[in-house]
Amino acid sequence: MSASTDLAARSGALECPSTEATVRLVVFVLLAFGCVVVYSTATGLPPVGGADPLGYVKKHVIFALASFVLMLAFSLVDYHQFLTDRVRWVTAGVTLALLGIVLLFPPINGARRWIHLGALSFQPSELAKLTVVLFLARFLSDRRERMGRFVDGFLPAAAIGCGVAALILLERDLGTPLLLLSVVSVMMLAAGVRLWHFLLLLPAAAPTVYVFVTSARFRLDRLKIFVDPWVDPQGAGYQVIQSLVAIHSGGWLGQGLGRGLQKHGYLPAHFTDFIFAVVAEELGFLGCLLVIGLFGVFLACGVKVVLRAPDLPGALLAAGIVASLGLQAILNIGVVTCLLPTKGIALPFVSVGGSSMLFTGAGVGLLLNIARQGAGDPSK
Amino acid sequence: MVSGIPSCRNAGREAHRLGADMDSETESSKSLEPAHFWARALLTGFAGSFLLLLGRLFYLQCWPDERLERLAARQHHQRVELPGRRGNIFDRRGRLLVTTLEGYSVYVDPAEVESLSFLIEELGDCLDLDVGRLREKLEGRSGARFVWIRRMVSEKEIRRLWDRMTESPGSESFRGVHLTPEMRRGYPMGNLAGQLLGFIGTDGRGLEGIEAHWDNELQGQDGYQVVQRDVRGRRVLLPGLSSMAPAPGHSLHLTLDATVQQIVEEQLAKAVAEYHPKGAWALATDPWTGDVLAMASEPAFDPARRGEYSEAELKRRCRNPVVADFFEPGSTLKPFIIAAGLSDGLIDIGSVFHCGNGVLHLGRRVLHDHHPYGRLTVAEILEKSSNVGTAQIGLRVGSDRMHAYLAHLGFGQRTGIDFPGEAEGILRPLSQWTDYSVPSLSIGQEISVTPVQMAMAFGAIANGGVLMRPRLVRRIVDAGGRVVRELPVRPVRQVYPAQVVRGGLTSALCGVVEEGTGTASHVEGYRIAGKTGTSQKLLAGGRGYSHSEHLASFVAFAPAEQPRLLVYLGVDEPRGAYYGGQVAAPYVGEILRQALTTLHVPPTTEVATR
Repeated sequence: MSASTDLAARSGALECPSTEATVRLVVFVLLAFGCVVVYSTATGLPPVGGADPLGYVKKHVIFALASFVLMLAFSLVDYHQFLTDRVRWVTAGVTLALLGIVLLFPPINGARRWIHLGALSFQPSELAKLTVVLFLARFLSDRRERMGRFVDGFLPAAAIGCGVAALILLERDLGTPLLLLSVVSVMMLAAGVRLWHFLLLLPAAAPTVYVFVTSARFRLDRLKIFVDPWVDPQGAGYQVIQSLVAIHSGGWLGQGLGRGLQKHGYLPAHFTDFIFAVVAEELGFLGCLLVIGLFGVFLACGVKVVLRAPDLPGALLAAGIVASLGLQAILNIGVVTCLLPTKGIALPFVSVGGSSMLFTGAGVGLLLNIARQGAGDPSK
Repeated sequence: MVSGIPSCRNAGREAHRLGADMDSETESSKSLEPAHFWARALLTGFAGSFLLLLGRLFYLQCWPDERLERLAARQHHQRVELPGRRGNIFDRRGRLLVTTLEGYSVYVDPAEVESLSFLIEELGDCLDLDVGRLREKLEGRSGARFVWIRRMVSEKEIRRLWDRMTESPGSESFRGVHLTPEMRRGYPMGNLAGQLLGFIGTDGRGLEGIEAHWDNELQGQDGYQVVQRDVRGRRVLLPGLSSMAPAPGHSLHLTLDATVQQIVEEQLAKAVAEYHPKGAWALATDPWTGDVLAMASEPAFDPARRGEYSEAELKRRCRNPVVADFFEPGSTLKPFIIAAGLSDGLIDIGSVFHCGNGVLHLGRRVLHDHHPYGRLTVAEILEKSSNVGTAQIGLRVGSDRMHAYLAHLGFGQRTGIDFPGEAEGILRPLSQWTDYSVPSLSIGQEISVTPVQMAMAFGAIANGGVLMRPRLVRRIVDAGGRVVRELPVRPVRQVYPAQVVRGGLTSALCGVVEEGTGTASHVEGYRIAGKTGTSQKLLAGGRGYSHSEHLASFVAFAPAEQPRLLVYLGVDEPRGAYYGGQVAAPYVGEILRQALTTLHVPPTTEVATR
C-alpha cells in the first residue's frame, strides 16, 4: 500500500477523518491524558522504593511515547506477516517460556506476575494477551470449516485458551485469565463456533472457578466485599470504599486536576489499577464521560475495522484486539465503581505499567494495519 | 453506530489479496458472516456496558451520599488548633517571673517503629537520654500508640535529631518518631513567688494564683486552621481552607519586687527551720499605694514541680493564707483601738491609765496582763502591750465608735485584692455584740482578720490615716508592648486624721521596737514602728482558747518618719516559743534591714559608730 493511494482515499472522504486517523487521534489523546493524570498522582504518595518521586511518571511518559511509536510502526507492517507459521510458533514458544519462567520469580503481594531484570520488569501475561490473539486468528481461520463442530472445532481452540489461562492462573492472577478466556470466546464465536457449545463446558468450568475462588482467602473476601464493602471498611472493603470516596468527591466537575486527596495514601494502586478513581475525583463526572467517550469512539472504530477486514484472519485478529481492550476498560472501570469484584486489570492507555502499554500499542498498530487493508462494506 | 462513521471503502482495497491462503471472495464473505455478527454484538455489548458504567458513575458522583461524604471529611480534614501564646508575668522592675516556652517534644508511636534497637540508640544519643531507661519505656509497648520520650527538648538537641532523621537513608529507620510543638509555662526565677503566681492546667487555663485571677488577660486567643491531610496524617498543602491566626495574650506587670520577695521567702524559711510551725506567712507592702511587694507562705509551692505533689499536698500548698486565711489578730489590733480613742479626742498619747496590777474585772470575767502593771501612759500601754490598759481605752471609745472604726479599716470585708479566694474575715455586726465584746475586741479577740486586711489597716497608720486597696498588678501590656490598662492606686477612705497617727501613735509604735515587746526587730540606722501579736488560737468549735497553740505575729513599717515598707509576718503554731516579739519580730527586722537596703532607703538615724 502506497502513500499516494492513502492520500487519494483521504481526499475522497473529506467529510470525516478516516477510521485510521480517528484511532490514531483517540489513542494519542488517551495516552496524553494518561500522562497528565499519572503526573497528577505523583503529588500523592509515590510508589515505595523510588528515590525520585517523579521517576515513575518519567518512565510512564517514555512508555506512552514508545507505545505510540510502536503503534505507528506496527500499522506499517502487513499483519499477515505476524500470521505466518514461523512468527506465530516463535511468539507462542516465547510466550509459553516466559509464562513458565515468571513462576520462578518471587511473588509481589502474593502474585508472581513480574519478571525482574535489574531495573526493568516485565509482565508476560500482557504479552500472552496479544500472542494468543495472534495465534488463534490464524488457527481459527485455518479451521473455519470445522468450527461448527464440537470435538474437532470447538475443543482444540478452547483447549488452547484454557491452557494459557491456566498458566496465567498459576501466577495467582484471576483477572487476566478471565479476560483471556472472554477474548478467546469472542474470537471463537466470530470464527463460527456455536454458542451452545460453550454451555457444554459449563459443568466442567463451574467447579473449577468455585475451587479457585474459594482456595484463596483474599478472593473470597473480595467477593464478599463486592456484595457489601461496608462490612469491613478498614480491612477487605478498604480499597473499594476509598475508590468510592474518590469518585463521590469528584461530583460533576471534580476537585480540579491535581487537587484530589485520595491519592495521598488513602487509595491503594492509585496510579495503576485504580487510576480511574483519581480521574473521577479530580475531573468529575464530565472527566469520566470524556474518558469513556474516547474509549467508545475507539471501540466503535475497532468494530468497524472488524467489519471491513479484508479476510477472516484479519477480522478475527481485529475482533480479538478490540474485545481485549474493550473488556479491559469495562472491567477496570467496573471494579473501580464497585460494579465488579476487585481484580488486577489495568485501564488501557492510562494506567501505569510498561508491558501493558507496549503490547497495547502493538495491538492497536495491528488493528490500524487491518483498517488500512480493509475495504468491504459491511452493509453489503 | 457503525453506519454513523463514513466508510473509507477505497482504502487499501487491493491489499486484502495479500492473504496467502485466501479463498474466493464469495467464500470469504460467507465465512466472515459470524465475525460480522459477533462484532456487532460486541459493539452492542460495549455500548450497553458503557451506558451502565456511566449510569453508575452518575449515581456515584452526582447523587448525595452522606456515608461517603462523612468518611471523606473525617479522613481528609483536620482542624488544627493554633494555641495563642499566654502572656508573661513581670515583677515591678520588669524582671521576668513567668513566661511561655515554645519548643518541641518528642514522642514515639511504637506501632510504627521498624527497628526499635536502632531508635533507642539514636534517640539516646541525640537527646542525651539513658539508653536503658529508654529501652524500658519502649519495649513491649507495641500496643500503645503514644509514648513521650522527652518534653520540651532544647533547640540544639532537636536540631541534631531532625538532621539525623532527614539525612538517614530512606528515612524509614526513624519511622515512629514524632516531634510536636508544645508550649509550657517557664519560671526563670525558679519557685520564687510560686504560690502567688499559681499555675495553669493542661487545658492552658489558669487554675490558681495570679494565673487564675488574671486568666482572661493572660490567655491568648487560640486560632485554628483546617488542613487537609494524607493517610499518614501529614499536611497536604492546598489552599482554600479556613483558618484564623492565634492572638497572643497580654502580659502582667506586678507590684511584686522579686528581690524583696526573695528576702521574705528566705526569712520565712529560716523561721520555719527554727520553730517548726504548722505554717508561716508574710507580706510586704508599700503603705502609700497598697502595692504588694512580697507575699509568701510556708510550706512553699513550686509551680514547676506541681506534678510531684499529692492531691492533698497540692491543695495545702496552693492555699495562700495571706488572703484566704483569717484568725484572731491579738495585740496587733491594739493600735487601731488607741488610734480610735486619739481620733475621737477621748484620750491623748500621754493620758494615764491604771492597769490594775494586771487584772481587770469585767462582770464575771477577768482580764489579765502578762505582767502586773500600775499606772501607764497610752504610749506605754502600747509598748508593753497591756491588755488591761487597752481594754480601758476601748471601753472609753465605746462599741458604736469601735465598730465604726474597725469597719472603716476594712475588717469583715474583702479588700478587693486581685487574687482569687479572698476571705472576708469576721467582724460581727453591732447587734451581736455582748457586754464583753468591747474589751475582747480591744485586745484583738472576737474578730478575725486576714493578713492582707491587717497589712492594709496598718498601712493606714503608716501613711497618715488612709486605707488603701491592695494591688498586685500595676499594668497590663499587650504582646507588642503597648499598655492595655493601668491599674490605679486606689485609696479607700481616710480612717484617721493624719496628725493623729503621724504624731504620737507612730512614736509609740517606735517605742514598741525600741524598748517594748518588739525589740528583736531593731534595725541599725532606721526607726521602726511595729506591734507584736501573740494570739491564742480558738479551739475547734469556737469554744474557748487553746493554751498551747498560738499565732505569733509582728507587723512593722519603716522608716517611721517616711514609711517605705510595711511587713507583716505570722508564724502559725510555733514550737519552743510563741511570743510574737520573739518568734516573728526578728525575721521582720531582718526583712526590713535587707529590703530597705535594696530599695535604696537611706538610714534615718545615726548608726552607732564604734
